[in-house]
Amino acid sequence: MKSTRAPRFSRQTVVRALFALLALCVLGLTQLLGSTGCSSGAICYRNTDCPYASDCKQGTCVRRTSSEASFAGSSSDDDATAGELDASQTPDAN
Amino acid sequence: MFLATPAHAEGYLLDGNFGIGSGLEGGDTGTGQFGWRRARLRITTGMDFRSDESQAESWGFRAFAEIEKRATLGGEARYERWLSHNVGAYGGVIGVVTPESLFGLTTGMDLVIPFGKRAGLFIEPSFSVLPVGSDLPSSGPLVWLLLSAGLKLGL
Repeated sequence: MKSTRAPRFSRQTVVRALFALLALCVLGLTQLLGSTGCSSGAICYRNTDCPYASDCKQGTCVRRTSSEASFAGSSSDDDATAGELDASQTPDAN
Repeated sequence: MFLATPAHAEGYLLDGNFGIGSGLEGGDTGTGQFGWRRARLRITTGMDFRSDESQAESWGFRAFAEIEKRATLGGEARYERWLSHNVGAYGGVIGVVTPESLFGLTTGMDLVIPFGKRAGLFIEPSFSVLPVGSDLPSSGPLVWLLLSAGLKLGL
């Protein structure tokens, strides 16, 4: 004999559960953002974290060498030795 | 979802959306350690297309601009599957095209709170992994855990 009982979880219940899950995710993200596990803005993760004519090397912005800078169309005042820190950036204390 | 009115007699439905988002960005700086920080604030806009014969699935296109630090411009193409009128999941490709490049895959959820017949508020958590591009300082991928929200309109 076939059962005529309604489904155990209605679609509305599932949607509410998903919204609750989302709220938990938001809380988790907020907690993670507020925690000390997040690095400060002084560390670069992408080349576009650095000013124009600088690249991100090992978490620090360094000015491009003259050959790279001229290849990229930069002006001559970008001349600097490789590995020199960009004047506008300070390495993170950590 | 399902907010749109038919755009053409052929039965294609169109939704437009506009929102903002942020979250967490993780990556390897080149030191071998994977770290996290707040992702740049971004604005997004885009459209979802679906056939009225198969309203549970759609194709979406997004353009976004990160508006912090050096501004970037990117886009996303996704396949969406709707579990109900208001809840969907998607997967697709995502990338930044200028001033540096960054490409990868993305997945996420769409939750829509309807306002009236043709408008709604969308909330969209997403997870993206971007292993390729000139914006990466090392060989490690960049990871985005983002939450976006905004307005969705049936066009």
